[in-house]
Amino acid sequence: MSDPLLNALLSATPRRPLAVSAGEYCRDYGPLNRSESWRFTPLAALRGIERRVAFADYRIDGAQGIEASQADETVLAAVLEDGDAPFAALNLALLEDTLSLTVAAGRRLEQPIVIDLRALGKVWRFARVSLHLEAGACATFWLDMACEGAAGQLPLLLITLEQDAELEGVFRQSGEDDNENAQLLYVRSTQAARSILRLNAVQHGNALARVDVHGELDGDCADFAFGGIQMLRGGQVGDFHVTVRHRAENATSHQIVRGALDGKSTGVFDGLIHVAGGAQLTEARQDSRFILLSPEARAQAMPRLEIYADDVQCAHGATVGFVDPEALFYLQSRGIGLLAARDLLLFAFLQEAVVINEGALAAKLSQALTTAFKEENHA
Amino acid sequence: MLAIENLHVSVEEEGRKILNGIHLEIGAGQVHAIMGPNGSGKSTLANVISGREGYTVTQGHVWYEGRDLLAMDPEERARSGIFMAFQYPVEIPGVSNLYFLKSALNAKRSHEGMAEIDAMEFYELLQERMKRVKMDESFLNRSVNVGFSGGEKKRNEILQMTVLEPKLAVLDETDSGLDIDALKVVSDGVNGMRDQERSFLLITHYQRLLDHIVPDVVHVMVDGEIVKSGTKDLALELEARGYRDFRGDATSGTHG
Repeated sequence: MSDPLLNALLSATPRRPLAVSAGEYCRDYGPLNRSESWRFTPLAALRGIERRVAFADYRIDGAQGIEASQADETVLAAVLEDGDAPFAALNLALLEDTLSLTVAAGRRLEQPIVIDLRALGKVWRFARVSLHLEAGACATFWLDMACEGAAGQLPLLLITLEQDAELEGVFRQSGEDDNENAQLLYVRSTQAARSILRLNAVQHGNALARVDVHGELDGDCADFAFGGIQMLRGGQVGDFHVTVRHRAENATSHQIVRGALDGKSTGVFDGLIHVAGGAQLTEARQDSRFILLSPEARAQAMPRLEIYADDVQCAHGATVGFVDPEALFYLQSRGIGLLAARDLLLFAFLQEAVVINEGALAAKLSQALTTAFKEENHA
Repeated sequence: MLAIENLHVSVEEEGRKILNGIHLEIGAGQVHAIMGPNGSGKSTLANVISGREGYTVTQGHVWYEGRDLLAMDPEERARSGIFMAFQYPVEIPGVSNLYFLKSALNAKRSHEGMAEIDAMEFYELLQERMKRVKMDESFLNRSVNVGFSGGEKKRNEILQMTVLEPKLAVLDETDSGLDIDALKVVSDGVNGMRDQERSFLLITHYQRLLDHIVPDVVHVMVDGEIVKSGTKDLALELEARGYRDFRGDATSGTHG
């Protein structure tokens, strides 16, 4: 039995071989509400509104020095190896084209690649972007996904880093004062030896925002970092599902999540560190913390470790709590007003999850966080 | 400056009485020291003055420059010139010491109708104040008190005091856990700020602090009451004889 939502959207599957197998994947996936991976995701936000299928209208800035390229079918097909990617499979089944960008070997981009994906009205907007950095290339990107008017977005992002390549990126899932928007982003990355990938995700303002990150560390000494930031209120749900697979030696990974949850909102973090046999000297960390700003807000943290190598260091920690009253009082006792003190502490808390370093990108993220923080806390 | 009249305080949750009728008057420019055994209520008094939650004032008044202190929010007390050096300074991850000091100073300036401090002016002020407390510039970019040693945290309290220039500073066991050198830095910080207007309330277990900061008045607090007040010689007397005599006095005084 397949899921009614997936099934309905699949009606017009093209006949390309990959699309056909992706369609089969969706049909075989079964009902979403029976899947462990979708248990805490409120499916009402997906099913409640009838949306028509629409394809991406990419707006790109700062793409000088990048070559448009043909998408690598094997990279696309690899998405289907993940057993929990029904919407990524749906994306492959329905959307024919990939926006495929390659940064040539050794090339360093000065400006971030800015990709703007917007969805307006009752549509499911599908987009697919592939970023390929050849050996030693260095780039940053900013992926903006805004929704308005009960819109839905189902983008798929594929990242391929060759040896010594370095990529930092931010994806922002935002919604404009509409509680019926739904966004599901799926990211799959593969990293060769000594490559560095740092990703930050920011969620605020949608009925449902979910990011699935599937990171493959295939080369020795590769480094992966994911930082997830949630600012939620009302009945919003923010969800990070992160899987990192260590398949080579000496690689490092870090997953860090910080959420400030107000109203009846829900923050979810499901993180898996998978260390394959032979991936010795892996160093992996996972750390999620949520602050509840209202008695009705909820947080779910599911840290998971699967380790099949014996010489590794893996750590995980998860906490759910409140703004520290001692710290609040300390600030107040220095003349800082209660609201300003609370803002100061919350903002500092959220910023702990910033993992990107590059100057221009970090400045853009800091600005976006400040703006979103003001909107969420003083609306 | 500060007048405490018949102050009775209990702990909010347990209802346990901690302060049983404190009378204390601190004039402008005076340094008062309160000594007393563990559990006598010294820190409770400091907490009530600074406005910490969790205490119920069941009787009495606290007047600060003629205003009802107990009716003021903690931040309003601070902006009006009250500073408390914490016994256990709080760590605030992600907020730099520099940003913290600037926010605090600007909150006070705004209260006084002044514009925010100019960046250059603030930098120069900090340079001078940090020299006084022998703190390295690197502390400015570190998160407030995070990873600081016990002595560094206490010096950071004194740095904040010298930057905020309060009218009344309450030092809650600032000398506890300090080595001789750090004690000297803290004392010099206080002594450098003593003048005709500024008042201090020192809460301490040990007489040695009072060798460095010579008080005008010493009070002995036992079981939530001030049982004796005197000159600095009272501290020496306590050092020699302990609190035993006063405990007896307090007991007979309370229970007849």
